[in-house]
Amino acid sequence: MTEGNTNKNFLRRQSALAHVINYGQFGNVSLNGPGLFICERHPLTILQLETAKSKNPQTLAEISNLLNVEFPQTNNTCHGDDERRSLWLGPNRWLIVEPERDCLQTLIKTKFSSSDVFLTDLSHGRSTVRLKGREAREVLMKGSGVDWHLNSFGTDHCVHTKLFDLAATVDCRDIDVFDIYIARGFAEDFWDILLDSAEEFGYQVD
Amino acid sequence: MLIINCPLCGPRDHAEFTYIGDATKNRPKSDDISNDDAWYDYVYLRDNPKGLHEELWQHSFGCRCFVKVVRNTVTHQIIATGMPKEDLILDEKGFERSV
Repeated sequence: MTEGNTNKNFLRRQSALAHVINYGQFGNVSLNGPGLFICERHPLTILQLETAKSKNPQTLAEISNLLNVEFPQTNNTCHGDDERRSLWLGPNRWLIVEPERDCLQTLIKTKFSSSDVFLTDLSHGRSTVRLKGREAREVLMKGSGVDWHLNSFGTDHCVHTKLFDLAATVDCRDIDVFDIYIARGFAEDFWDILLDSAEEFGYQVD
Repeated sequence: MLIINCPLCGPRDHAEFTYIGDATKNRPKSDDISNDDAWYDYVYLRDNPKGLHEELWQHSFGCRCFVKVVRNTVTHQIIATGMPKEDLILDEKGFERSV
């Protein structure tokens, strides 16, 4: 799934998964169709934002107004949509994700001093896989001991966990839609394990 | 598999955590040489209790925060968890999170 800037002059990011993705249906696809739909979200701007504790509330409110996105104060929750999304990472720490457009980092840096806001650009260091379908939770259950039940992990919740032994951030976009952020260096490995786990349900790569 | 209840993230596998060390040791206030014994104790001396033990773990694969854990070293039961500055007090039923 190609997202964001299509300008020819724009320096495009290279996907870590481009050479391993085979499109089509695979595995044990039933008459009801594939149990899972898997795609890569690319290219994305992924920015980690941390605020100085002392100036947290007002700085955050100003950034929130600037970017037009709310920063979740509740643990393990997210806000926003596909256009711009913020995820709770830890105390005073958030992840901002959007399809790659203008330089988000520069936008924030021009308005705020470096002693108030700490930004780390992770766009080059993360791969994002979108998992959707009726069996998506079953596949997540194979990879981590987190409680994936809808009552505990519903829409707009996120977790940072060890998924298939790799550090991952899982964002629940909808009841059966999940965005998984994984370190780029392990993306290929993760892709292989994910497809192996999805095989029994039948999956479609878009 | 041990389940550690991270105060920020909720119950997680212990595989997500990294053991940091004994939580009962307090760093000496001064580094002057007259305080050598306190520093020796802080750096080198560790108890090896049979039973309840206060430990620090880091939730490295989650929120990356330090978590204070009271663990039974005989049964490996996790009795209580909290933030590092919290006092996990012992009452009649065992360790509980202080209010």
